[in-house]
Amino acid sequence: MQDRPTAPELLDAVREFIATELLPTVGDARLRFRTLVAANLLDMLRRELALEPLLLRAEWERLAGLLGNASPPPLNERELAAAVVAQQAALCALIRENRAPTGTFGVVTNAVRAKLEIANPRYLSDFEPV
Amino acid sequence: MNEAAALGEALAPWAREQSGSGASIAGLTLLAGGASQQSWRLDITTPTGALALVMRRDMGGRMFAAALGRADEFAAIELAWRAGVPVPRPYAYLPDVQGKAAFVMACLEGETLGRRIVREPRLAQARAALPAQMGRALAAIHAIPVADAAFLPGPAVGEGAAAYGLRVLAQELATVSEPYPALELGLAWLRGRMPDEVPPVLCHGDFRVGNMVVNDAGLVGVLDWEFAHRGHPGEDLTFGAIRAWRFGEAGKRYGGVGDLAAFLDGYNTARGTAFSERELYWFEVASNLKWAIATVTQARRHLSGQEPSLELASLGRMTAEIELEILSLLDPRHPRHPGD
Repeated sequence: MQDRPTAPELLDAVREFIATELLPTVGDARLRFRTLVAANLLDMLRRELALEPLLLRAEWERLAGLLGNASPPPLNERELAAAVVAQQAALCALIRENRAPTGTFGVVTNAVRAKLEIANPRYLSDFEPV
Repeated sequence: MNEAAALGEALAPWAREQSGSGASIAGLTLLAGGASQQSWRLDITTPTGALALVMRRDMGGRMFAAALGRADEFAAIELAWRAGVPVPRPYAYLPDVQGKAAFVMACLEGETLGRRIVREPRLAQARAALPAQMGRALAAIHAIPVADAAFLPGPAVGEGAAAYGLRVLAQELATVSEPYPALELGLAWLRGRMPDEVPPVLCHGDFRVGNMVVNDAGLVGVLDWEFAHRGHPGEDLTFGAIRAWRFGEAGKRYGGVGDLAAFLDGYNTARGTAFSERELYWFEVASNLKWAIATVTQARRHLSGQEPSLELASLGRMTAEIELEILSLLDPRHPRHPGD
């Protein structure tokens, strides 16, 4: 067990440092852009720490349901991620063979939405088909 | 000696050959650099006045298998210049500038940053003019005799131009080991409804706001020819229309600046064609896939250690934005879906 600040609290501290102390001193436009990218990536990491365990488990359940996989989900986080990748790869092979199971579109859409919950939630909530 | 000084010394003989013995290099500033190439602003003082130039120089890496080296990029710009396309005047191909191939072209004055072009109040008039201007410029590019572009990559013998574009996309995605089910769904959708083939044209390959020099009156010149190839005109007609190149102005479907209809009218009128939004839907999906796959492969350039870069790394987390757009376009409920 680590002492405080916790990982999310440390990320917040680094992000605040970049945004309020470092950024105002950066004059070069391209360097400013990369500094903003760095601050945004820390926000992303913070969301990932908070949300990914639940999102990953839900994605495993959906993929297992779609692919008819009856085995229980791995309990260990790393094995769970590997199992999701393996199921995604199996689904990709089925899509390439034109044998995607009914429900594929919904499962894939949910997976993309789960990525955006972490990568860019504002893009996701503002998204309208045009 | 720093890099700029060394390059300046290497370029001095060419400057004198170009502009007379009184010419000298007044300035050399790095505009953009990466593992594949560098762009330098090159200022030359001559007895008759100043010359503002840009040098593009190879760095050895290739952004994509399909990206051109500087010799072919220069040759493509020369073709466009001779055809009257608004491009920077090409000056010279220099096979050895400090050990790397480079070329020199005019430096055009204006704005290139997409985020500014779609928003800045002073560019309102430019935004109104830009779609039709870009349509006419693209028509001029596509009217270049494709036989003159035989040195550029293109379809295999007997292969259609659209089929070639789709094959390249699938090949690029296949170089990545991680699975991308949404992109596979996009490729499958495209394979299941191939469009009518037309003879290939010289495609710019990256024709969008962000690669245009723009001033208050609109289009000044078309930049970044390193993805030029022979392909289906639908590729260039839709790449600048995808959501990612609207810079947050999703409702302005051409480049975040205006109507797709104005762009298509400009193109169709100038070229005597009749491409419709409906028949270009397939290419809009394909263009989204092209950019989605590019974000995946560019992030791999960081991950492989080929070009460590925070910007390239961050592109790997942008892929999902384009995947959402692809799925939305595939969905029969999309307001513009052409039906099956």
